[in-house]
Amino acid sequence: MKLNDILRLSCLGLLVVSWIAAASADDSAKPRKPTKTRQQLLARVESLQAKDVAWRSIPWKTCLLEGIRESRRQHKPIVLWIFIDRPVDDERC
Amino acid sequence: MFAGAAREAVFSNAEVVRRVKADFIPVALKAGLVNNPPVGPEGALYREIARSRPAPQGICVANSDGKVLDWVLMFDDEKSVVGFLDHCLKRYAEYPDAKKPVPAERYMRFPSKKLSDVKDTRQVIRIPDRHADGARCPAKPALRKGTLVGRVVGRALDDAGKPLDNVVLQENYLEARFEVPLEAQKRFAKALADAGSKRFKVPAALVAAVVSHAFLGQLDVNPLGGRKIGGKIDRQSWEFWAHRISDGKQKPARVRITGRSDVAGSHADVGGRKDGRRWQHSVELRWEGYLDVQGDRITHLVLEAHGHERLRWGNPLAKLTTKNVIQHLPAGRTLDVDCGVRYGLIAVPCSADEVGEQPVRARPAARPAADSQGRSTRIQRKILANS
Repeated sequence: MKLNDILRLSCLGLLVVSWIAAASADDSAKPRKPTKTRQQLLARVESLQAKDVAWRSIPWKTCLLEGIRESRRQHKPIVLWIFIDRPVDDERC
Repeated sequence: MFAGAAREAVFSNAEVVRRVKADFIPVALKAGLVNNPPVGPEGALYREIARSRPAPQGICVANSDGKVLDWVLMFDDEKSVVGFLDHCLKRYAEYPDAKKPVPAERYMRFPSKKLSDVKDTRQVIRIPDRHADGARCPAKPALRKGTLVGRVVGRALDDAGKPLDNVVLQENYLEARFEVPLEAQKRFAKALADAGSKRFKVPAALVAAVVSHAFLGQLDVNPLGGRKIGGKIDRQSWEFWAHRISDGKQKPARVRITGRSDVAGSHADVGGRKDGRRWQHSVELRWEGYLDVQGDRITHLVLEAHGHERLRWGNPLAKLTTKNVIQHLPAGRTLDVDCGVRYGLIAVPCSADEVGEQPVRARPAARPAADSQGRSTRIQRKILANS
């Protein structure tokens, strides 16, 4: 085989390999069609929130001073729920 | 595990909810605040509460001068919770304030396992009328202006792909707060500016800020918690892409995001977490959403994710089951989740009253109170043995 033929075949081979690599590139690099509009997505996300969660019906304060003020005003004891890491409005312990 | 178990077994009980709302002032506090209080008179109040605590977290009832009446960590059964509330109301009738010495009662398990009382120091704690001038409530998060604050909601799905109805259980339903710091926003805004109208890879800082909150269950099973929770990260893989969908002149710029994440973690028996817990947790998700960007800040974020989650949690030392949570509040119960999941996240810049400096902390509160025979560390071990 002549040198030119070898070079021609090598270039062709390289082209084929590059085409195969491009065709099998990660899908995430390709633009995707949006499946939901922003409004649709907002509505879906908001619908995930549960409406009637029992423990959330307790009106937990987060300020101890405010708790003591109310305790004095209403003559009721304070129940303190002390848990690790997050304030109550985080809801995850 | 304490708060999740307390939420399910104690504060979701209809009669307990009714009694707490009618007869008590409910206050929820971070253990970190009680155990590491701020300086000043308000800190003295937290310190007084911490003084008698048998453990870093629990349920406590105090009177109107901030004196502890009772602590409890677990209950014999469901009706004992209402029994505890009745007991505390009687104690309050006897000790409504600090005019006479108030011994703090402590129960590992009410009513069957009482610990020894902690005597009142007779120190009258001055209760300030309000927070110190110019100071924020120490319980309120203090954030940098522009920090994104949001809520993540997670739902476990049934076989038909519908969210499970039982939202009391933390492995079925999650609602949590999350933050996206300024630095993550800036990196994203720069990547957007550099990309122009082309697609670009979302910087890891922003991805981590959202993915790290998308998991069911308590903080102890965070797949990305690593050594902070005594675990290890087994897998952390994600790829998010973004492109501008608004024209170049429109402000704010609107960006569309898609991505995938695959994270997994497990127990590691490191540091102080050698309490026998065993867990494995993996979460695989597909994401899509929209961000609004103005300057170097994100002004609105909405993301939805769906996928699969596998969570197993247990503790062979604590004899956990799925049925006796109220007797094992600190350790919780076994978890075995293998289902489809959906997550939703919405975030906006924090409000003006969330912006501030963190309060100065005084020295940490003393370790949980020893009883008269110096048995505080034994109390800690008993919690697990009695769980």
